[in-house]
Amino acid sequence: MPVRRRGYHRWKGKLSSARWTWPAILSNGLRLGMKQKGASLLLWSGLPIAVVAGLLFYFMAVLEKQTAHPVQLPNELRFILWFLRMDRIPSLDIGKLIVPMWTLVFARLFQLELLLILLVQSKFGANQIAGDLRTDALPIYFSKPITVWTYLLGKWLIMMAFASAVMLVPNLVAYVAGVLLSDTVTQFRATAGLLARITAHSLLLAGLSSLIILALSSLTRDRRLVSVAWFAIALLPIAIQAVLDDAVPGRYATGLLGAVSLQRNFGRLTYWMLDVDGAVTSSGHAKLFGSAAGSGLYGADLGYSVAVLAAITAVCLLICLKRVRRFQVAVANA
Amino acid sequence: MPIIALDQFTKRYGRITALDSVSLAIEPGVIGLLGPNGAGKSTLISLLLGHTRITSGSGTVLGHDIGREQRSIRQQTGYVPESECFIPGMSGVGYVCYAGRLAGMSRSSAMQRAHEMLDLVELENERYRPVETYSAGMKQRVKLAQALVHDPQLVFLDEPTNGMDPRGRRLMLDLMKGLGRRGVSLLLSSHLLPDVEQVCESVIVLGRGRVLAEGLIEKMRRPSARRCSVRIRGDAERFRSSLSRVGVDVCGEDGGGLDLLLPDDGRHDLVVRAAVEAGVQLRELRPHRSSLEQVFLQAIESQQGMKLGQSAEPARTGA
Repeated sequence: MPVRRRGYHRWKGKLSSARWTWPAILSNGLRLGMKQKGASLLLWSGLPIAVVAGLLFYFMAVLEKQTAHPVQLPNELRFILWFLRMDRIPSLDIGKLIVPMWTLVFARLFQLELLLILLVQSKFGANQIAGDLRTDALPIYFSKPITVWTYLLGKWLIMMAFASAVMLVPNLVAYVAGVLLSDTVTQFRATAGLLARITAHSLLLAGLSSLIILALSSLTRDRRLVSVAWFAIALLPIAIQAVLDDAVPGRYATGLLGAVSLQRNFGRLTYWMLDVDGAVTSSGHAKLFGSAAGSGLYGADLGYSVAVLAAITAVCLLICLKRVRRFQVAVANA
Repeated sequence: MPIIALDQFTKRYGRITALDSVSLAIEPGVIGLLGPNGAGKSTLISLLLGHTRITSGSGTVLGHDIGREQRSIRQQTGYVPESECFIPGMSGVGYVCYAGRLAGMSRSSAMQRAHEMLDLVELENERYRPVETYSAGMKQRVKLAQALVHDPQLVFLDEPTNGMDPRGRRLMLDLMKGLGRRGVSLLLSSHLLPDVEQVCESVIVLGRGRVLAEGLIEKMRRPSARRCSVRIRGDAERFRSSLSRVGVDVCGEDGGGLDLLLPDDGRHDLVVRAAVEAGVQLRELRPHRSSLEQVFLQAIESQQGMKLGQSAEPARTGA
């Protein structure tokens, strides 16, 4: 018999604890995100980077095997020098240089992945809270047993998942490929610490960028505005810095913009998290990597960058909480 | 045991008092929440759901403290908001299932129940359409479905028949009546008094944050001992003059009859005497019964008539 003829009937199941509602928000957000046009393409775009990194590791492994007979690097592999920002290829025991070289590869990968993160956060994050505000979905959420924190946790994890797909996953794929393509056991032993660092740093960058996009998304109902603001925050300081570097030689303007630039601060954090300086110095051949690390260029302002990023995190969290809680006053005033 | 018990419940926004020392004990059933704009109806519902914090006072919903057990309250209640409230990109069944999962149901239970609720609200053929493409009436019904998916004991409905065509409105009212019969309590906030009159057993009238009247509708509309309605055959003007002589006032006309106000309770004999004097035939004489609209308007007007500083004791009529 159709339900409407039977009328309403009671449900005898048991509801789970109200604390565990964030997985529902997460899974629903992922499902809705993947329905978007071009979502899969964007999320897979990190993998070519991982493949390139895997190839680099393979070539390094080939070089390592030839250390007994130092050879000139073939012309077709010279892009490795460009990628690692190395001045010249060493004709010495490359085995000792594997860790700094891998570290530098991952540092460069993070720079490329940050560009992907920009696109991913804009595509999937701009509408996360803005969409709920636009369609008045918040009263539905908060008529259920969830708190503002649960709601934000669910939304943040959605963005974390998408961001990790273009940051954590390619890094892990690159690492595994590198280990498998070289002397597996030795390589794994030498770089196990690096694996932990890239994992932690990927999650840190994904988490931070997710929080920023959520804060922006909670400020307006228009996703386009969120995207514009997001790109402006991420790219404008770099663009202005480039112009000023040409127009006003000197470090004042550059330093000031570098201090507030999201990309620069993320970059400094990357070098610190991966311990690029430490890896290069401990190799005993720091001057080989002169233009890339060991100069203290990145380490010098680390404390400042950490403070800036911590402040951004706190401000974003406050914005999210304030904006989501504000709907309640709006409901009551309606 | 009352489903909602409030004691000196007060909410202030700065200098504006949205709810002023409201004390209520609402028994299970279908209850109407009436009041003009700004009376505090939506504020009351948002406070009961724990969306905003009370300024002072205390209260319980289904035995749970409003200040401390908001999540338990929301797990056992449903809410049909006034605004459209949908999640973009979701189908009807996805939306209702998601609401169930947010309430703590497992995915399979939520999905099964979502289908049942969409059948109940007659959206079974539209369940896979995106909610944003629904008509206004369909959106109201899908909101009711999401409020019922986890089988709450109490449902708050904020203007649930807004924007619905007559058929959709009738369906919604029938659904509400059916829910009441199945033991689901409803708190229905509406401007549409006929809807409230049709569905609710009792009402609460709010005005400027205070309870102006509360009780069973049947008792609120009880026959007045001093008012009656008559229909006559004969000279109406002579009858009016006779009524005036015996001290009976004519309050108004109602579809060919007259509404009369007697000088004392139960003095219907005065009407008979006036009819005899005027030489008219008395075709009908019955006690006057107020409509809910009249009850509502009287409550609002009596509050507006009061001067500042006077206390407003709510009119209690049964419970």
